[in-house]
Amino acid sequence: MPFHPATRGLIWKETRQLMPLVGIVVLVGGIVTVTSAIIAAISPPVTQLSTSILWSLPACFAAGAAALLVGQEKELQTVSWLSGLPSQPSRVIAVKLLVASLGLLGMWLLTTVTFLLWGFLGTEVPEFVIGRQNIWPADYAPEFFVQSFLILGCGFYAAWKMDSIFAGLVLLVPLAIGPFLIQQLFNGIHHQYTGARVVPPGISTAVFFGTSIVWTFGFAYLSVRAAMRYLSPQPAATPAQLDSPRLLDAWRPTVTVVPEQSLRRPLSAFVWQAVAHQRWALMLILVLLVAGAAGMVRLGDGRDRIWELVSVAAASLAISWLGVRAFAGDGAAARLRFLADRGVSPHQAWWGRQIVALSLLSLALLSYFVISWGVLTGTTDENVIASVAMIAVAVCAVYSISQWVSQSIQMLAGSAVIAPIVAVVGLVWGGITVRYFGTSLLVLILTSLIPLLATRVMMRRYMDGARDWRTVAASIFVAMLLFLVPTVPCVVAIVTAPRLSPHRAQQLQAEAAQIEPVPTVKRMPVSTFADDSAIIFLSGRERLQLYQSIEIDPEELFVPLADHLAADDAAVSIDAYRVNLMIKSATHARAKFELAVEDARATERLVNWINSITEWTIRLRRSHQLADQISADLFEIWLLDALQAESIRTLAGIDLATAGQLLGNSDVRHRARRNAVLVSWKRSGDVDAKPGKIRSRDRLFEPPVANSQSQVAWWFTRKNIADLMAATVIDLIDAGSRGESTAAQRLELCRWLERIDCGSPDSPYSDHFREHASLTERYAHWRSTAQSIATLWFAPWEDQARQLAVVLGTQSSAVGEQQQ
Amino acid sequence: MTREFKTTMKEHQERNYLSLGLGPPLLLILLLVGGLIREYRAATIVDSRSAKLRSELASAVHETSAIETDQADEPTHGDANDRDEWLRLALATREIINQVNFWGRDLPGPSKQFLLAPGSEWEHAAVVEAILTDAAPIIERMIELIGSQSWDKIESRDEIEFPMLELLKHRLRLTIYLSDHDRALETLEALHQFDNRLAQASANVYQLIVESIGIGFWQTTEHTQRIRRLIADPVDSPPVLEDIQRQRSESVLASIAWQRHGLPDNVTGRHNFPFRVPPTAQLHWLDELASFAAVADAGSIRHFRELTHPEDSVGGLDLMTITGAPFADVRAYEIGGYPYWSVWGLPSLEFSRYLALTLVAIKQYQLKYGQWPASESQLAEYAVPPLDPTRPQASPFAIEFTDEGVTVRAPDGIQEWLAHQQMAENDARRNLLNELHVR
Repeated sequence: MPFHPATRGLIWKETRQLMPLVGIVVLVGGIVTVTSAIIAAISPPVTQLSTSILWSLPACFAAGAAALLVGQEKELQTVSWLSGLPSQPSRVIAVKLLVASLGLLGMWLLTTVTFLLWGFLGTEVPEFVIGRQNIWPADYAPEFFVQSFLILGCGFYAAWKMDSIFAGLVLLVPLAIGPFLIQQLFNGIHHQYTGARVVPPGISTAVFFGTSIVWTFGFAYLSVRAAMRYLSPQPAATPAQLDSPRLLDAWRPTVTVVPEQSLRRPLSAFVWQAVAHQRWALMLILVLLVAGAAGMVRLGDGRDRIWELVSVAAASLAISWLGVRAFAGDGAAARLRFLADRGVSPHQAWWGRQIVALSLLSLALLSYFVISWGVLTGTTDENVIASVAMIAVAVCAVYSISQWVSQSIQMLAGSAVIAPIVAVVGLVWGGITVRYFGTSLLVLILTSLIPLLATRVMMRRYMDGARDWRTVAASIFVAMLLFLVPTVPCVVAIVTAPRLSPHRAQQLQAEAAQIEPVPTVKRMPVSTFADDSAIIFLSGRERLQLYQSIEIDPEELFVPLADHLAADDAAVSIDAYRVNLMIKSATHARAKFELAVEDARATERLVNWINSITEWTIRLRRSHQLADQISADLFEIWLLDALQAESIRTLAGIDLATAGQLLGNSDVRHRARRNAVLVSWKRSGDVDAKPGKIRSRDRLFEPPVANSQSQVAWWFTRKNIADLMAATVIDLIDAGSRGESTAAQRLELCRWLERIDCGSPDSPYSDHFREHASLTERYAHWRSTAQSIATLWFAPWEDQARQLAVVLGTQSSAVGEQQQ
Repeated sequence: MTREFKTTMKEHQERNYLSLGLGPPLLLILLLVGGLIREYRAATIVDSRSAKLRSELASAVHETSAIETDQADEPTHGDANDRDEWLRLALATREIINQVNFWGRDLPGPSKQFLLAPGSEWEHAAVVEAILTDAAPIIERMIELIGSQSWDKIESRDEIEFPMLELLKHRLRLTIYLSDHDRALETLEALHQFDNRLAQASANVYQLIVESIGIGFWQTTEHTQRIRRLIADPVDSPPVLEDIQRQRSESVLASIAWQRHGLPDNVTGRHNFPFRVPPTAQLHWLDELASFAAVADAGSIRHFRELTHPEDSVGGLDLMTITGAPFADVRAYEIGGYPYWSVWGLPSLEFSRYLALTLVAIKQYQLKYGQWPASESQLAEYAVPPLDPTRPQASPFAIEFTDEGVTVRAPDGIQEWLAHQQMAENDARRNLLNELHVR
C-alpha cells in the first residue's frame, strides 16, 4: 500500500462519512427503478422522466458529497479537529476530493448497471433496448457525466467558501449552470455574427464540454485554495490593518445584528434568526424564485425557451431546498433541541421553522401573479399560462414534500439530494392521478397538505431528538398516504358503482349458453376494383376504357355471397364500413333510376340491388353479432324506403314475396336481436381474457372512455355497466315485443351510455326523434353503431314495414296469378 | 425617557420582523380568496345571463316554427320529400365523387391552381367527362333542388354536403376546360347559392372566380356582368351573421350547461383540460357573444377585429382567472368548432370577394374600352367597394397597371386568414403572394 498511514486513515474516515449518502441515493434509485417499471405500463412519457431521474442520481450524489464531507464537518465543527491533526491540510483536502470522486465514479458504475438491467428486463419499456438509436436519455449520457463532475467541483468550492451548508448548496446552483450559460451565450454571439439560426451541434457541444472541463478543474483548484485558507492558521491582524479601515468599511452601515433586547414573540425571533443568519442565501433564493416565476409565465407561448426552462428548474430546486431548510438547515435539529429544553412549544417552533419559507414562496407567487397579469394585458395571443392557483398547488406540493423529507432524514446533505427527487416523483404522481384517476384539484390540494400536517404532528418527537422505529413507521405511513389519497375518489367510485344482481346475471348467462351457434361468413371481400394503387400509371385512354368496362352492380362490387356460403342457412357478418358503402352504392342506383326512368340498365341495376339487399338482410338477421342486427335494421329501412315508392315496387324482377316476408315478420326480428344481444354481451365478458385483441364491434356494451372522468374507474366498472346495459336491452326487447312502451328502458340505456343528450328531444333515444326522422334520414345520417344500440328498435318504421309487407304480399300474389 | 424610547424601538422592530414573515402569506391568501369570490360572482352572472339567452333563443325558435306552420300546412309533406331526395342525392354524390377522385386522379404536380384553361394539358379529362356525363341527371337535379326554395336551410353537415360541393367544383372545372360557358356559369351560380344555403361559405366561389379570370376564361360583357351580379352581396349579410350568432349561442349554452352539471363536455373537448372550466372563462364566452351580437346588429364585419381582439377595451384582469385551473388566460378555454371559425373566417372571405370584384371590374373595363385600365380611378364606374381599412398590415395587396395588362399581387384565402389571426410572419409572407394576371 503506497499510501501514508494518515492518508489511509483519512480515506477510511471519509468513506464511512459518505456511506449514508450512498445508501440514500441507492435506495432512491431502487425505488425510482421499481416505480418507473410500474408507471411505464400506464404512461410512456413518464418513463423518459424517470430515466432522466436515474441518470441524474450521480449528480445528486455529487451535490450531496461536498455538503456532507465539508459542510457538515464545518457545521458540527469537527473540521477544527481535522485542522488540529498533525497532518498537512492539503492531505485532508486531497483525500476528501479523491474519495468523493471515486464515490461518484462508483455511482456511475451502479447507474449504468441498473440502466442495462432495466433495458434487458423491461420488455414494456421498448425505448431502452440497448443498441437501438435515439434513446433519449442515453444520448445525453456524456453531458450528464461531465455535469456531475462539474457539480462536484463547484460543490466543494461552495462548501469550503460558505459558512453554512445551506448557503453552500444555494450558491452551487448558479455556479453549476455556468457552462450552460456560456454555451448559450456562444450560440447567441454565433447567431449575431454569422446569421445562422442554428449553431452546428458539434461546435456547440464542444463549447459546452470545453467550458465544463475548464470550469470543473478551475473550481476544484479554487476549492483547494479556499480550503487551504480555511484550514491554515489565520495570521493575526496587524495594528495598521486594525487602525486604518478599508475604503469599503467606511460605507458599511453600522447594523446591530443582535437585537438589543430579546424579542417577545418566538415567531418574530425565528424570523430574525433566519434573516440575520442567512440573509444572502435567502436573497439568492428569492431572486431564483422570482426569475423562475417570470420564466414560468414565458414558457407558455410554446416556443423553444431554454433560458426559461433553466430558470424554472432552478426555482424548483430552490423551493425544494427551502423545504429542506425547515428541518435540516443551519443546524436546525440542535437549535430546536435547545429550544425544546427551554420550553418553547412544538407548535411555535413548527411555525417558526416554516414562516420564512412560506413568506418567500408567497412573495414568489405574488410576483408570478403580477408578471402573468402584465403578460396577459400586453399580448393578444392566447397564452397557455398556468393560473396562480395551479402554480400554488405545485409549489405547495414541492415545498411540503421537501420539508417532510428533511424532517424524516434529518441529514442536510442527504435531504438536499433526496427532497428534489421525491418532490418531482410526487408531482408526476399527482399528474398521473389527474390524468388517469380523474383526481380533482381540491383532493390534490388536500394531499399536498398531508406532509405539512405530518411534520406538525411529529414535531414534538423531532424536537426531542427521539428517533426510533415509530419515526420510521410514521414516515412510511405518510408516504403511503401521499400515494393513496389522490386515488380515493376513484376507488370510491369503483366500489359504489352499480352492479347487476347476481341472480339476473346468472339467468342471462344461462339463456345465452342455450343459444346454438350458427355458421357465419365473417368476411365479405370487396372486389379488387377498390385497389387504386395501379390506376395512377394508366394513361387517359386506358382509364376511360377500363371505366367503361366496369359495371357498378352489387355482384361486381362485392364478391357474390353464394361463392362463400356453404349452406343455405349460414349467417353473414358485414362490418359497418362496408354496410355504409353498400347503402351508398344502392342509393346511387336508386337515384339514377329515378332520374332516368327509361334507362333499362339503370332499372336492372336497381332491381339487382334490391334483391341483393333483401338476401343480405335475411342472412344478417341470422348472425349473433349485435352490430349485424343494427346493420340489418339499416338495410331493412333502406328497403322499406325504396319499396314504399310505387314506381320502384312495380318493377319487374323484384322478389316481392321474399321482401314482404322479411319486412312483415317482426318475430324473427325480435328473436334475432335478443339472441345477438345475449351472445354479444357474453363475448364482451370474454374480452378481458385477451386484451389488445378486442374488436370494436365487441365493445358495443361499453360507456365511451372519452366521457369518463377517470379512466381507471372506467376500466374497472365497464364490465358492470356492460351487464346492466345488456339487461336493460333485454328488458327493452321483451317490453317491445309485448307491445308495451320502451321509453323507460331507452332512457336508462341512454344514461348508461353516458350520452349528454338523454331526455332531450334531439337524442336518438327520444320518442320525438324516433317519430319525426324520415326513413331516409335514418340511413343517410347513420354514423356509428357504438352509442346507438336499440335506437331504431320498436320505432314507427317497424309498423310501416308490417303495413308494406301486406301490400307486397297481395302484389306478389297478383303478379304470380298474372304469370300463371 | 430613554427607557420608553427603547421599548417603542423594540416593538417596532418586532412588528417589522412579524410583518416580514406574515405579510406575504396573508397577501397571497387575500389574492386567492379574492379570486374565489370573483369566480363565485362570475358563476351567478353566468347563470342568470345564460338563462336569459336560453329563453331568448327558445322564443326565437318558437317564432320561426310558428311562422313555418302558419305558412305551410300542405306543402310540408312535399318539403319532406324534397329533403329526403336531397339526402339520397348526397349519398349518391359520395359514390360519384369517389369515382371522380379514383379515375381522375393525377400524379402530384406543382400546380396549386384548381381550374384549367381550355385546351391546356389534362390527360384524364375524357374519363372525368364520362363520369360526369353518366352522373348528369343527378347533378342537374341537385342544381334544381339548390335553386328551389322548398325548404329553408340545408343542414351544415360536412359529411353530407361536402361531396356535393366537391362534385360541383369538378363540374365547373370540366365545363371550363371544355369551354362550355353557359354550364360553367350555371355551376358557379349553383355553388354560390349552395354557399348561401349553408349559411357559411365553404366552396369559396370568389377564389374560383379569381382563378377563372386569371386563365382568361370570360371574354364577353354578358358573362362578366352575370358574375358581377353573382357576387354583388357582401359576405356579412344580416342572415349570415344571425345564423352564426345562433349557432355560437347554442354551442356556448350547451357547454355551460354540461359543465354546470359536472358532465364531460364535447364542445370544449374537456379531456384536454384536467379540471373544470372556471366560471370567469364562461363569462368571457358570453361577453364575446354579446360583442358579436353588436356586430351582427350593425350588419357589418368592418369592426369585427376590434371586437374579437378586445385588448383595448378589456384589461388583463378580465382575461384572467386566479383560482381557475389549469390556465390563467380565460381565452385558453376556448370553444372550438364550426361557428367560431367561420366567424373568424368572415374578414378573409370578404377580402376574397373584394379581390374577385376588382378583377371582374378590370376585365369589364378591358372588354368595354378594348384596353387595360391605367389606374384604379378608372374603375370608378364599376363601383368596387373600398378595401377594408382595418385589414392587417401583414397582408400586403398591390395592383400594377402596365400597357400589357394588369397584375394583382394578393394573398390567397388561407394567407389572408392567417394574417387576420396574426399568425403569419411579415417577412415570410411577401414571398407567398399570388401573382394574378388578368387576361
